[in-house]
Amino acid sequence: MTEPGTGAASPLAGGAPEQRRPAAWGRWLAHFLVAPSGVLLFLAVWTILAIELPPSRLVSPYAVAVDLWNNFLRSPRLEVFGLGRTGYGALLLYTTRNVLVGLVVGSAVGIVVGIASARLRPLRLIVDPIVLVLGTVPVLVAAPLFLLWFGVVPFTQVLLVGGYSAVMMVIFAQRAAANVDPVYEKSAMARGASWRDRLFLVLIPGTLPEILGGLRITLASAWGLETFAEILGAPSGIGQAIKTLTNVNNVAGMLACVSLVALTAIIMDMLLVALARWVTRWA
Amino acid sequence: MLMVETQSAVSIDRLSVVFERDDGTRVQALRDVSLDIGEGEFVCVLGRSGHGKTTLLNVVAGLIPSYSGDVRVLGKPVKAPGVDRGVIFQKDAVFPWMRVEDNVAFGLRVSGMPKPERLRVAREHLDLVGLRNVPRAWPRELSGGMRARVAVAGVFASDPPILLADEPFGALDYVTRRQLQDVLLSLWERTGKTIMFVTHDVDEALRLATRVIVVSNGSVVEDQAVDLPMPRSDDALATPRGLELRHLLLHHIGLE
Amino acid sequence: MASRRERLVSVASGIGVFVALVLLWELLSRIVTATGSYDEPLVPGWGYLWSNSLLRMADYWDGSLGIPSTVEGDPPTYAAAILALGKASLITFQRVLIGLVAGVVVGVGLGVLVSMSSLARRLLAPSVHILRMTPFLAMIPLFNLWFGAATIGIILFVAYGVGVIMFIGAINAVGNVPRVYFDRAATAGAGLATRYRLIVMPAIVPELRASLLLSIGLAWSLVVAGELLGAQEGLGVIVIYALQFAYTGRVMIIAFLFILYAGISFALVEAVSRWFIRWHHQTT
Repeated sequence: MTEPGTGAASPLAGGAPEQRRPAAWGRWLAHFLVAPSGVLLFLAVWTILAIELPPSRLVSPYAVAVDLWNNFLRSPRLEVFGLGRTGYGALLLYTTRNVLVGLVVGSAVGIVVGIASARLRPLRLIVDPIVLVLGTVPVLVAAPLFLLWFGVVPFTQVLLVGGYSAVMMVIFAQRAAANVDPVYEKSAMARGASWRDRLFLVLIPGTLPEILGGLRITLASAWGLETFAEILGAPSGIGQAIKTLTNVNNVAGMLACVSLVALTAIIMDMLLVALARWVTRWA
Repeated sequence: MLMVETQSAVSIDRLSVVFERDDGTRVQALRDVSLDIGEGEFVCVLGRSGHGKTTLLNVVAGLIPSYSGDVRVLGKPVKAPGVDRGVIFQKDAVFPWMRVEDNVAFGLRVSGMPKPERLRVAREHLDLVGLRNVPRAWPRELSGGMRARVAVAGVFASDPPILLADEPFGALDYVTRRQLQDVLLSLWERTGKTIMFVTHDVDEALRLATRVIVVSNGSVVEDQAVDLPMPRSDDALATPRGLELRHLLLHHIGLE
Repeated sequence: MASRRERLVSVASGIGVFVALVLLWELLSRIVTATGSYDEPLVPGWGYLWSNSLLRMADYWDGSLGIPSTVEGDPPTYAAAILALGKASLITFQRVLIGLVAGVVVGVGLGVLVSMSSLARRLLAPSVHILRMTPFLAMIPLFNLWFGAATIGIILFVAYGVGVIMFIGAINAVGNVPRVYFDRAATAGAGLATRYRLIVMPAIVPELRASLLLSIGLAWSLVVAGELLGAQEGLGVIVIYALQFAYTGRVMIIAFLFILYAGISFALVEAVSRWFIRWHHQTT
């Protein structure tokens, strides 16, 4: 069975059995036209739905873009509802910072614990039961508790994202370490490698492709977690904007904020893919 | 041996196949191949990896629809796969989600044979390949050699006049491979099917074929009848004629 | 392959870890005695959780079935507390179940359908990627706006999230079916319909099962999120009330229930679905 989280990858990655290969120019055309026309298709369906539905339910991508443009640097509307002198941009920055801090700290812990527990049995006996429960459980239930314990501060959201990242990355790192063919470590040992060499020259590079794949999946979910934690209660962030705009039924603003998070998530994912491709160019 | 047929089972006239790589460069997999296989012949297509022998088989099987030239099976041009040609694949193609007998009966199921009848035929053929005891097993419970027997039984159960095999025993160990060669030979003698068998193994070709075709760089470089009596023991292959043929084939695939 | 003895050791250490965590929590509750508003301890010990938080769930019982409600001034009883939790659980469970089933059916159906055409697959790929990367949890307010914050909205929200995951899972699974199976079916004379019925549908089950198991955790997450933002009844609603009075213990009780339910449903589906892949070599 492949890893359950391949969901974050583009469905093209799998590639179904191609029955007939198109000619060269056809493939060129397909490559350069199908993806953009796919995006256009998405926007077209959205626009048609927006025309059919009343503006209190859905507005067109164009209206969303206009709202985004007008409120990105400064949004008087958000000011009125108590978020201070701010705009979508500044709120997005808060969200992004929390996601990245949580992700980096959480996954660093998770990766170290994951790799270590894959090779040290006593550690594994302690880690596995915890991960078994936390890995299948909605992390979200911790959000209200964190809010009660730590209050309406950035740390509350960072802890949620960080905890989630740690658990996910323990699972991915363990699996990655289990999938590194033992023959590489045996070969390294046979050539006199110390445990440190084995760790840094074999285990870490060998697990990197899978770990980066896991990081991608974790990052994709982290945005939702952060935004939700912000809606529940935060001093700032795009989730607060969504909450405020919901209270006044501002559909264009809600869609603008959700699109903004999605866009950021997509860009960050692309950056991570580029990084992963460079780091694992041998694979 | 029966060699009196007038109709050819497979006739290939000036066949060329060009593949295009993803980077746009072209590879000529087959160049101007002409070939005639009579009914009841056991033809081995011999060659090194990457020299076009699997492509040749896939064209005849109908799995490569875009080729230039004329390819006919039993007089009809080849455009797509058909029930007149059974294929044993190089990769393990036994469906893991079907029990052994359902795998063997698959072709009959597709052609609409009722269940009791097709299971009877399947069990008969499992018997013929020496798998009497495992009709209800899952393929994962069988060894590679047993799965190869399932593949052989499946293709004979469907009873196509022509059988195409693409290095079907390549992944098996020596003893198992020899056993499966015997199974295949006995089924061939029993049914008189036309067989086109792709291999890179000179000894396998000499043991099985009535005729060996050597493919090199996309062209047929040798077409040699193997006039050794069947069944061919190791001693029979060690006769002067056997050794002569062996040297000839080795020479054509680039050794000696 | 773990031997019998090794498995015994890991089960024993698992139990040991949980006992240690339970004791650690009790210790922490003795050390941190700070209280929030309404005199609720921030770190409630097990005794408090049992005698106060659990008992006080009776506050959410409506007084039917002859079990009195605390609203009319009767003292809280464990019977009322259990009934209140049970009723809320049923409502939440129903949302998870309907949303999960709807999402799986629609997602897999559309995924298999789209996978039939390579052009459709590539044309839809960007839309699917956008939907996948748009954080589900950020969309709850939109679902509330479109379909209402009541049961229907939450069910559709769960179905949407699960549907997207299963749709992608189905397309990937069809793409991963080895080409040689299609070839064998084609050479045996199978048409497109037969190929989908006898090859694709069974071959994708192991990967679909992996996506399904992933979806269960997701479905519970989505239902928690949906209920926390504006539902009228269900387990999440108890959390909303508890949050208003900073009742940490009650929030913890509901969190435990969610963890329990998610764990049980995961284990249940994993065990039952194993039968469908008994042919698969990795039936672990």
